[in-house]
Amino acid sequence: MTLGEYVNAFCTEHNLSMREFAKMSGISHAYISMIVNGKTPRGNAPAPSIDKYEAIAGAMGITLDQLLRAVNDNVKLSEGEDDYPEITMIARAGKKMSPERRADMLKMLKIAFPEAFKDD
Amino acid sequence: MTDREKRALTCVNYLIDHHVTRLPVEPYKIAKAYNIKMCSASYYAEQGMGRDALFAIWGNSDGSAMSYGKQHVINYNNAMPYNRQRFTIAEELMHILLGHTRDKRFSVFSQDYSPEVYDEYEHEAKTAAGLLLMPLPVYFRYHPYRSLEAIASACMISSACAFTSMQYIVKNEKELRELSTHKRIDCGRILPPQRFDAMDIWPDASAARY
Repeated sequence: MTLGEYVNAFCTEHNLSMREFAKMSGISHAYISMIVNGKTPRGNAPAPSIDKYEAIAGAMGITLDQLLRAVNDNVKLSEGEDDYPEITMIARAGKKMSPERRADMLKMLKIAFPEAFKDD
Repeated sequence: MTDREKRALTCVNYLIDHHVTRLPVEPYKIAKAYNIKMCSASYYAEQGMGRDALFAIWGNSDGSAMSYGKQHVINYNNAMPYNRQRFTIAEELMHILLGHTRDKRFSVFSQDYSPEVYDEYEHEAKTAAGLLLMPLPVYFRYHPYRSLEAIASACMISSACAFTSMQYIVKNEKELRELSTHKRIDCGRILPPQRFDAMDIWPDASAARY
């Protein structure tokens, strides 16, 4: 059972609307709806982070461990690459670029998004 | 009009309703309201990045838009004529707000544009930018009682840009009149009924003129 199916079953069983469940979990209604429908606006499967699982488990009154055992999704352990699809894009594009273009792209990104590179 | 065009128009109407009270529309202020960072070519130059390298990545010498996580940046060439810069900023703003920069087939990050998607998004953003800078309530209020040049001048866009927008409006006039916001925009000071204008006494001339 996927997380979406599990949430849906929980809501049906407890006679809750998705909006009510979203309020209980502290997650936005749009995101809960995305999980239940199994689709992001871009048509991908949603990949909720472990924090979201934790919040959902809390709303259901079970432990995170119980929830993870109940669903068979691939859970991300932290907010990672999938939350920043641009990183994947840049990494893929970087392989096709000349070393000079790659260096220029990195330079431009560092200037435009200094916050993202502040630890470099 | 396609559903995508209606979606873009909804976005433009929203911006006009919430951010435009008078002419000329100021796209950089709207961008600021959405926490979109503006980076000029001069700013990049100050940070040690040359224009040639920059334009090669942008794929043009006017500007580009980038989204990274929740941050958005509009790049623009501030060496271009002012009205052209305004249009570039409006266009890039629409790319961001219409979600184009999130699409890897268009994103500057992927450096691998799909020609069909690129053309479609460019057309969509350019059309929306034209309707943002020359808002429909202004056009419908003044055209054809003022020349298109006078309206373009008040909106601080080029006559060519105004003409392109007008062609789009004429083609979709019925739907646009129904879908347009009816916000009253202050343009009295900018469009005074001062000089003699053939359009004032002979409105139908507008059709023949173009």
